[in-house]
Amino acid sequence: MWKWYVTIEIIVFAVSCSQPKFSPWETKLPSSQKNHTAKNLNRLYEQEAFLGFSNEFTIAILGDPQGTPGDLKRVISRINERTDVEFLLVLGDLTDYGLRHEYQWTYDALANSKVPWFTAVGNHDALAHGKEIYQDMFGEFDYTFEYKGYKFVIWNNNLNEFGTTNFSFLEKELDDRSVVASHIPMALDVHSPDQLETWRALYKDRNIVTSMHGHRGTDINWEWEVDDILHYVVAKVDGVRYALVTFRADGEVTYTSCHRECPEEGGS
Amino acid sequence: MRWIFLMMFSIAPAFAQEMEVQNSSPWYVPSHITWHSASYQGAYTGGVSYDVASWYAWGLSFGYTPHSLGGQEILQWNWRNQFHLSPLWSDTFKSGPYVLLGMLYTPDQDMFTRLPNQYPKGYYSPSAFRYLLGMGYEMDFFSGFKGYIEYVAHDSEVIAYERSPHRGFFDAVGTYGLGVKIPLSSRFWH
Repeated sequence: MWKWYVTIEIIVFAVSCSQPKFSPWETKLPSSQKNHTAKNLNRLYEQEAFLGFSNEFTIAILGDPQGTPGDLKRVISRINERTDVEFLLVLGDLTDYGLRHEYQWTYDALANSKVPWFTAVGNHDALAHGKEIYQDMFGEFDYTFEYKGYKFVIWNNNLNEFGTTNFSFLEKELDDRSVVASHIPMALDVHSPDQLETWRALYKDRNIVTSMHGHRGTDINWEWEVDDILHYVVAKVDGVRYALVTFRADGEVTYTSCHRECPEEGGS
Repeated sequence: MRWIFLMMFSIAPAFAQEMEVQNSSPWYVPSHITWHSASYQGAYTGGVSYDVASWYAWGLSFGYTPHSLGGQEILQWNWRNQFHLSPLWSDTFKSGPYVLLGMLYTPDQDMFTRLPNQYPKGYYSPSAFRYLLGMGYEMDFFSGFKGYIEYVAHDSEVIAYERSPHRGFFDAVGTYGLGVKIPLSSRFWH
């Protein structure tokens, strides 16, 4: 009799502790974890109205938090200590395997952010049922928003996982106020030389402000210019790495890489 | 959740009971049919298990998770290997803790078992497979009729946990499951 009693006690205790997970490939999300691009856009516009217009501001960019949710949390904590960062951009690869629990780790970390946050989809995010979970949790893969005179163009350019790269989206959205954020950088990696040339010609034609990316997944930041347009690849968050992007009043954009420590507010 | 299992391990010897039945069936005749729920092996899971030795049993099961629970209909095959720890302290114990190693496979068309051609070798691991690591406690209620509760994590969770220096997200890792094993031996039924 005691065995039944102990077993029932353990079962009741276990069931009351947390929700069971039935399969690694589940996609169902609670409503609180859905539609976060739209929710953060609302936060951003409220913030912009509250702060008033200023054409000098700073944002933080983060890359490839997959597999290191603890470090993502630490990066968010560091950024929360600052008052000069106005929003965050996570430049793809929120997950390693496109699984729901990985998305939830990323969400749990980002939900601690004091400022609005946005995501670009990465190639790893599209594995398994990751595309569906991404759209449910965040929203569209390609989207734009305006902030303080700039147009942020968030672009899905994961060619292999989506079967195509949507250059028509860029063609439609780009102008000389555009800041492009996508996962894959403009380098000979997944895109063919012809596709890279199309991409480069679009940037040059519209004279965009800057282009920022993730994907490399290393501890190195890359910064280079193509046709006088500044490109930047942010390091993986592993080891508490991120970068600050400052949009100055004179139109100049500067990137500052941060590894645990970052310049004081107002410095560079 | 982890405290439940630490507690179970610490009190395991006190709950152990004497071994009564040895499986004498041929290897291809299952020792038990199993019914299981959760711990990543499906919401409704049925299968068979084989008691190979006092310290080892393996099982094969098919799991089904309906759309209402999983966000979509999920079908999966589960291969379980249970390594019983009771023989470490006595070869007569029948109930006790075990370590679980398992492999999951889903025949979902969005997954792949071989890397698609557009990727360089080793770019992704096969998305149709996941690997389980866990621990549990199995109790023999009577005549080989068993029940168990287990806590498992799969490979992506274990890797992320290992790579995370402060491990502050441990509570988000893993999940529990429950199951029963119904013996196929004539001794139970007669």
